Amino acid sequence: MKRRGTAILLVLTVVLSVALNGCSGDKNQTASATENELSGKPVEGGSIRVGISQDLDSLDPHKAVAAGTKEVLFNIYEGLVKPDKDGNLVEAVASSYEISEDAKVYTFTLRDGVQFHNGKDVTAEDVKYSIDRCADTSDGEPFVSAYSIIESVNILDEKTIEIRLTEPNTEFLAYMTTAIIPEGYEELETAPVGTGPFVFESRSPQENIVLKKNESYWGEKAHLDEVEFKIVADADMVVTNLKGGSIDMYMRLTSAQAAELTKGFHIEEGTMNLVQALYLNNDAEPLNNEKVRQALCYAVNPDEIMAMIADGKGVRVGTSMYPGLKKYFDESYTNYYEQDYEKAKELLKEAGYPDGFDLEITVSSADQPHVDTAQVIAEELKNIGVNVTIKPIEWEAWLEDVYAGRNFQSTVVGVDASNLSARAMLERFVSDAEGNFINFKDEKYDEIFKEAISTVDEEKQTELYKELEGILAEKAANVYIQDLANLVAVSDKYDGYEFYPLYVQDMSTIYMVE
Amino acid sequence: MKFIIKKITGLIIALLIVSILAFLAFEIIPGDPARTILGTEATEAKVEALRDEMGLNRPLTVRYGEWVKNFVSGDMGTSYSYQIPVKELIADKIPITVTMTVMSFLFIVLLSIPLGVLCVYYENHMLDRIFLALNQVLMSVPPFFIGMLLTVLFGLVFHFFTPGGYISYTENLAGFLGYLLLPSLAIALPKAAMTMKMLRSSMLDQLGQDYVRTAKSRGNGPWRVLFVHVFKNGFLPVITFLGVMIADVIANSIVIEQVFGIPGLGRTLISSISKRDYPVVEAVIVLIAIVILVTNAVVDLLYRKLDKRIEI
Repeated sequence: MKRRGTAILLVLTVVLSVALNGCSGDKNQTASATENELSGKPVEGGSIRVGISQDLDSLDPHKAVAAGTKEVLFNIYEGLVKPDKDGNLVEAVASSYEISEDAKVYTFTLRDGVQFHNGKDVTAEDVKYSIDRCADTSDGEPFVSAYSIIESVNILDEKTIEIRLTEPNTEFLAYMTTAIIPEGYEELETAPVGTGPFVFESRSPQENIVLKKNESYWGEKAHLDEVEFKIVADADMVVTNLKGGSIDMYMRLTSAQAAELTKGFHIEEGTMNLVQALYLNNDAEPLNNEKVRQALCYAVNPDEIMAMIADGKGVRVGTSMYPGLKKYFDESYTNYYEQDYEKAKELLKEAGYPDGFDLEITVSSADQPHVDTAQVIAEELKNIGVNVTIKPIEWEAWLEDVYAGRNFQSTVVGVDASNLSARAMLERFVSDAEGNFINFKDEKYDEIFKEAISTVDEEKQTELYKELEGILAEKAANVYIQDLANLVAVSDKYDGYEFYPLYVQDMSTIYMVE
Repeated sequence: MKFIIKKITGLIIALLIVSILAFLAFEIIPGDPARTILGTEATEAKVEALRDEMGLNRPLTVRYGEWVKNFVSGDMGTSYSYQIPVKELIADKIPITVTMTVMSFLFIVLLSIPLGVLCVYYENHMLDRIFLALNQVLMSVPPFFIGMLLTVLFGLVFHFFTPGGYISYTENLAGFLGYLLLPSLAIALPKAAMTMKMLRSSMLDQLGQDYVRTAKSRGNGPWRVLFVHVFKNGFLPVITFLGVMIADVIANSIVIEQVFGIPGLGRTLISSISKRDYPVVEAVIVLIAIVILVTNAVVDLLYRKLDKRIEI
């Protein structure tokens, strides 16, 4: 009797494993069969469902902070200028602008015929209202901290608006991407109104947000009639949902996920536009010693990390600037430290740690690429006697303890830019900067930064910024790794996906193919 | 009457304890709602200002007292992350989770009772053994895994349903119910297996009793004996079990909602916890607690009705 029971169990196991194999067998067959060639012709109209990993944190463009929210809102709102896919700032709500010689007065001429989604024309009053709203200091701090240098926003005539600054700033245009909203409009959170190529249609918390084509868009109109951003909370279900057809597109896949999508999808490869590094608390023992930090740099090999976590995808960076910001990215620092365990050990000996030390790496547990990176680093550092403990914590705890509290030894994270200026990446390393969570302190850096931001000559300014990048590399402020690969799966029914050098998902360029 | 008053007082005390614990939990875990809302670009001053605005700088006891006062008067506050009243947010989610819970429960009852009785009838026969083995397998597999298995099997192999293709009940009720079938089944299977096993052993227990022999000797057929006499007594302990199961079903629906991409209460709860959206979390937790406590009270009541010997 007992034996029969076991036999039944065995049969069951076989049945189950056959069922499971059935699914994976399917995968193997298709792997060789498909070539992601697109043969169809573009057609107008249609709809797409895009998977996103998190619900939006706010529909108010001035209050939204999550990168995943901004990239969606890009389709609804526009600023006076907006970034294009090559990293340039192009005119949007404004048709032209002028910057005064001393870089203290910015004058914008509004474009004719730009309408809000509610049908009203955009006026100079709306622009003034939007900028003033972001510069408002009645709550202590403006929404956009850079706006603290705005002296006044003046309406010169119906179509012309002037922004006066208290100090020269040649990069201020990069901040003029701030969304223009209707004057006095209070319902942004529930019924957003902007000027972008898509109009907000509906939102269901934790379910989706639906956008419709803006038929009266001033510029090149979108191809698709409808875009639904659908929340896929369980990362393990992304591939299943793509294959099953409940979503047509998904951003930031892991290379393992991308490898599974062989049939019916093409994978677009770009970068995430951030600087992933082992960020070091320059105040914490023994990382306050420059030689120790340099030793870590010599011990870590970014190429090895990319090979281990993403099949070699990703772009190496050697300082706090990512390749997407072409104008400012200095390639010469990319290979500033080549892996050399002997040199690393020697540096540690000179610094007084011949036997290595204990290092704690704090990492946000939900960010798999960062967790994986920390694990590879831990193995690499073993070779120079540094004993790593990885401490995974929740993102909210990371924000509070590591970022705001600066209570950490080291952390793996990606730091991105909020706009297209070099300043957005480099300002945080000024000694007393609020965002200087690694406590980097260097007098020369502070001096050059001050000079850079007040330099009016663009070429000279770029030189100075590159000098700053050099200081960060030489002083080994952090162990710089890479700009992570961004793998986007797009169903073969669609094409036209474009990468931007910022967190942007431009849905207006996407079209259906026949 | 006395019984009901006793139950209600117990319920209120339990709810107070649950809500206090939920409040305390957020005091202890790291993370600040104001900072979570403002992100990395925020300055200290900005975070402080927002904390003030949200009233987070007031002492815990004041905040709790205010929350209780508002909750009793039907005001659950405003969600931090959605800027809409919590009541409105949750009202849209409740039908989803309730439907799923009811469907799972129906699956449990409809699967476990007939199969349980069948196994008793065919005790030690092939059929009984197959089900026992299957039971073992199902009980040891967590629902979320069954969920994934069902998704792959029915979604990608047989194409019976679209994984992640949730349809809102406001859009298409039939589609909504259809989509919930598999997730409900995923929750129900392990529980049905347990219930069936329990019913089987409880009924087998009864089969050895004297009254069964009497019933048989009176000329009742074996099915009649099973259904009319044995089932009635054997089912009593299972009722308690089913009552407790409701709590389990709700707990599992939280996980299953993630797997199947269903925007119900569970998913709202999880995302609100990670966003430190206290008003939503508090409301959902208290709601779930109410459901569980009320079901337990109903089970007690039912139990007393069915078996007059029991005093509560």
